[in-house]
Amino acid sequence: MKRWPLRVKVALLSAMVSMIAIALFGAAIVWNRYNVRVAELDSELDRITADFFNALAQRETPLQWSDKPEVRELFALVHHIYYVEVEQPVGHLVYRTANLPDTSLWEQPSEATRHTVKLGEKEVRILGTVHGSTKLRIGISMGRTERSLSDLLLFYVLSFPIVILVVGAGGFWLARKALAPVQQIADAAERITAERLGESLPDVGAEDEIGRLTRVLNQMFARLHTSFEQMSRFSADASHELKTPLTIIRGELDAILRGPKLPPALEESILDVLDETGRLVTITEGLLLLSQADAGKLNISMVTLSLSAKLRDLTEDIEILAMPRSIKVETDYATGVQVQANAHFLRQLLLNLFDNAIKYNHPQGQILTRLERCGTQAIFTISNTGAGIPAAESELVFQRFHRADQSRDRSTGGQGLGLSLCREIARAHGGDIRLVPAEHGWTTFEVALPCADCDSSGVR
Amino acid sequence: MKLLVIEDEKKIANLLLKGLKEHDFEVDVCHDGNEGYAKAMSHPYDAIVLDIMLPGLDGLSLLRQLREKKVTTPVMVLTARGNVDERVEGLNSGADDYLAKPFAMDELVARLRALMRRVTGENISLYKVGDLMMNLVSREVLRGTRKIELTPREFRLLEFLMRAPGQVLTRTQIIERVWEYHFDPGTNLVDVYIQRLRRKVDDGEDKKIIHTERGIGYTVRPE
Repeated sequence: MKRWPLRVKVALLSAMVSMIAIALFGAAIVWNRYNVRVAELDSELDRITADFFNALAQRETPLQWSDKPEVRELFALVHHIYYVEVEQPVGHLVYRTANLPDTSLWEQPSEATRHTVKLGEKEVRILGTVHGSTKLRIGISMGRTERSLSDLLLFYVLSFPIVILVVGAGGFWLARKALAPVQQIADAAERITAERLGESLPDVGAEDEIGRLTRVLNQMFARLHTSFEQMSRFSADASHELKTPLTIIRGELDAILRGPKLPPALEESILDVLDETGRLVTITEGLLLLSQADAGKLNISMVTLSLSAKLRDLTEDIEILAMPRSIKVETDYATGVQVQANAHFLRQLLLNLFDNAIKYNHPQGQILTRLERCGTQAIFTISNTGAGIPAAESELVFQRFHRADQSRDRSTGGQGLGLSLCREIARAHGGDIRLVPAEHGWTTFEVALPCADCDSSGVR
Repeated sequence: MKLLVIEDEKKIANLLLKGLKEHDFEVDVCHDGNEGYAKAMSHPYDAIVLDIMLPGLDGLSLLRQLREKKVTTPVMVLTARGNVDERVEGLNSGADDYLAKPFAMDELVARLRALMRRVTGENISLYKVGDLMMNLVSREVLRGTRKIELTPREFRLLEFLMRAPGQVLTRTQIIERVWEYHFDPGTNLVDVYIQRLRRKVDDGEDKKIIHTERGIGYTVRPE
C-alpha cells in the first residue's frame, strides 16, 4: 500500500468512506421508514377500533356474531388484510376471521396492547382493546411495509458498486488534479542538480499549499546554492591563493639548487622539499579542478583522438614503472577506437589508473588491460592483482582523500584525490568510471567513454 | 635582451628578476597595471612577462590596449588559474604564450627564448647541442651524420633537455614537464629513459652530451 501512488490511495479511501456513509445513511432511512409505517398502521388500527365500538354502542339490537355479513358490515371489513377477533364477554370467543388459522399464535403476547407478531410468513401489527364486556383484537398485515423496505434495501445494495465506481473515479481525478502541481514541482526539482542549483521552481503564484511548498523549496534551493557556491568558491580561491606561495617556494628552491654546490645532505633535503612541493602543486591543481567540476564549470576543450593510440603510447612508460616490482603488464587494445577527449585530461585519467594498478599491486603481480568498442562506447578495463577492494567500498574509493586500505599512510604515495579526479574527468567527457566486482585478489576498474564517430575529422 | 616583468606579487617579481638575470636578461619590474602599460608603451622591450591579476589595469585589458596601439612586443602571460577558458581568453587578447603558476624558471626562460627567436625569425624548430641536432618539424635527430631513432617519449625528453642546454633539470621537473603527471618521487622512469637515450645518443661517441649532475638531475651540454 505504501508503494501505491497517492492518487490511487485517495480514490480508494474516498470510495471506502462513501461506502460507509451510504450504508449508515441507508440503515437510518430504512429504520425511519419502518417506524413511520408502523405508526401509520397503528393509527389505522385505532380508527377502526373506535369506529367498531361506536357502531356497536349505537346498535339497538345485540349483534348476532354468527351472522358474518352483518359483522363485516359493522367493521366495514372490505379488505382481507384485516384480522379480527372478538371476545364477549372477555374470555369467550364470539368471532374470528377466517384468515386466522391458529388461536394460540393470536393469543400471545397477550399483555401488550400494541405489538407485532408473526403469522405464518407474514408480520402482523395488532391492537388489542377492551371496552365494557367486549375485547377486540384487530391486526393488519405488514406485508406492504416489508416489501417497500426490502425494495429500498435492494436499491441501496445495487447502488453500491455504481457509487464506489463514481466516487473512486472522482477521487482519482480530483487527487490527480490536486497533485499535478506537486508532480510538476518534483519534476522541476529533479532537474535542479548540483550544477544548476541556481535555478528555481516556477512560481505558481497561488497562496495555497502548493504555492507555499514552491516558495519554501525555492528558499531551500537558494540557501543550498549559496552554501554550495561558497564551498566551491572557497576551494577554488584556496587553491588559487596557494599557487603564489608555491611558485615562490619552488622558485627559491630551484635557485638554491642552481647556486653554489651544497653539502650533499642539505642538497638531498632540498630535493625532498622540492618533491613535496610538487605534490602540493598536484593536490592544489586537483582541488581546483574538482571545485570547477562541482560548480559545473569544468569546460574542457576536446578533439577527436585515438584512445587506442594514446594507450599504446603509454605502454612503454607503464612497463618501466612496473619493472622495479617485477609486475607483468598485459595489454589487449582494439585498434582505431576514437573518442572526443582532451588529451591532457585523458592522460591524467589513464596514468592515474596505471599508477594505482602498480602501487596497490604486490611484487611479481599482474596488470591486465583491455580496450574494446561496445556499441557506442569505448570500454577500457584495467585489472591488477593485490589486496582487492571490498564491494562495500566500491563507491567510497571515488570519494576525495579516501584510501582503499583506510590506513591513510603515505607509504604507498598518492594524493587520495586520484580516483575522484578520474571520475570527474570521465564524467566531463560524457562517460564514467566504476569499480567492477572482481574475483578475490583482483581489482578491476572500468572506464566507459562515448565513441567518436570514426569519420570525424581532427584525427591525430 | 631586455624584458619587462609586470607582476604585483613582490616575491614572485623578485624571483623572476633573480632567475631571469641569471640567464643574462636585462629586467625591468613593475607591480601595477597602469605603470606597466606606461612602460610598455614608452620602451622597446624584447618581451613582456605579464601577470593577469594586477592592481590598477588588469593583465588582459593591458594586453588588449597594447595590441590596439599596435605594440607587437611578444607577451608571455602568467596566471594562477590553470583554466582552459582563461588560457583561450589570454591568447585571444593577443598573448603569444601562456604559463600557469606555479611555473619553473627554466620553463619560463625556455619559452621566452622561443618567443624571441620567433620574433627575430631565427629557426626555432632546430635545437643544437654540440654535434647533436634535433629538428622539431621533421622530428629528425642527428648525432653528426648518424641518424637516431627515438620513441615519442624519448624524443620529448631529449627535446626538453635540449631546450635549455647546460641547465640542470631535476627528475621532478622532467617528470612534470615531459609526462605532465605527478609520479611518486623515486620513480625510475626518468633514469630508465635517460639510460635509453644515452645508449642511443652517446654510446660509441668520444664526447658525451647527456650528463648526470651531482645527484640532482640531468643536463645536456657539448662536453
